[in-house]
Amino acid sequence: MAKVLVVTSGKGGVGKTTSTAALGAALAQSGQKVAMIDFDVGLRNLDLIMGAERRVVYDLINVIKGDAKIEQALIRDKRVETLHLLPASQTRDKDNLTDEGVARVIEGLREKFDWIICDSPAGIERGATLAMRHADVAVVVTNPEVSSIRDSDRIIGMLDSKTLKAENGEQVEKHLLLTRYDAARAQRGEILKVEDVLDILSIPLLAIIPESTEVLRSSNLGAPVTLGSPNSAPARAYLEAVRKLQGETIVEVQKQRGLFSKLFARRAA
Amino acid sequence: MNLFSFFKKNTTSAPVARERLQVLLAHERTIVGGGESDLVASRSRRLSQPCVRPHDKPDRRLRCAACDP
Repeated sequence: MAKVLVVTSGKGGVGKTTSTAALGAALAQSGQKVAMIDFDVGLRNLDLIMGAERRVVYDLINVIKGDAKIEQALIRDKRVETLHLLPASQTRDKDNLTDEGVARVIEGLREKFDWIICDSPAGIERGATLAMRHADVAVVVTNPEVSSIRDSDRIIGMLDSKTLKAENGEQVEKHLLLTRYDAARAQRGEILKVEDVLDILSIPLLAIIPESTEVLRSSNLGAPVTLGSPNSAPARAYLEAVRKLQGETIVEVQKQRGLFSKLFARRAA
Repeated sequence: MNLFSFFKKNTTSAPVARERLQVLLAHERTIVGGGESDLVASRSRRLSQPCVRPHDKPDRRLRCAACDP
């Protein structure tokens, strides 16, 4: 029986789709059967990030409306066999996205996969609420920036009140994914530090994805960063995030600083 | 840039952002949620987390809504 994971944030442009692709690919690379669903009707991009834009025949709305079977709409990744994508519709209206239809699709996929990853659109409208509706686990993607943190806080409130789990008196397991993080700028006091974001949002940290050109490079080439550039810092962070999601405990080893670096360390402002 | 800017105190913006967010979200978690369900959910979230805000940072002059409703 699959776990349903929603990748959400509230604010647009923080890296939801990039993170969905990276987490989905990393889970599939570890041998799990993964289905990623794009809920961004009208503005789909997961197909593009995955390099599958020319393979889309049927989409989520086709399946909901009964125009296609779920097996016909699922696109199997050519690089990782266990990775599948259900694209959103680019032309249909998002009113076609119904509660019953989404429930049917999720139930259909639950029996065939280990993970169902729902890529939420930005905002708090129908697409976003339906993407989180069936979630067991939520990854809240946030940038260390005021507007992103504010919107994430709103989304966390919705995860605690508008999901099926919340309505049944249960809790959606929530994790923070801090993206585009620049440790040097945080040290200089130019952006919020990890501790500040954790203190404000009060949910456990899944991973910190450092700012890197490798993410953009992989997107340009139509590959999730964990496949396109597996040894880069962001890819390693996503792989570690996936191990945490699978229940592994990650022990962080702090590097011992030498006498020279202790004496001449840069002071934070 | 001139000679005096070298001696000027370097002010950072992150602490300001942090304080603004703390004040704003303390308000929004109770007001902007609108429905009672959101309000109850956000309250239970705060109560389930260990409070670290006002007790070890008395100079911030912030009240913790979970401890002092």
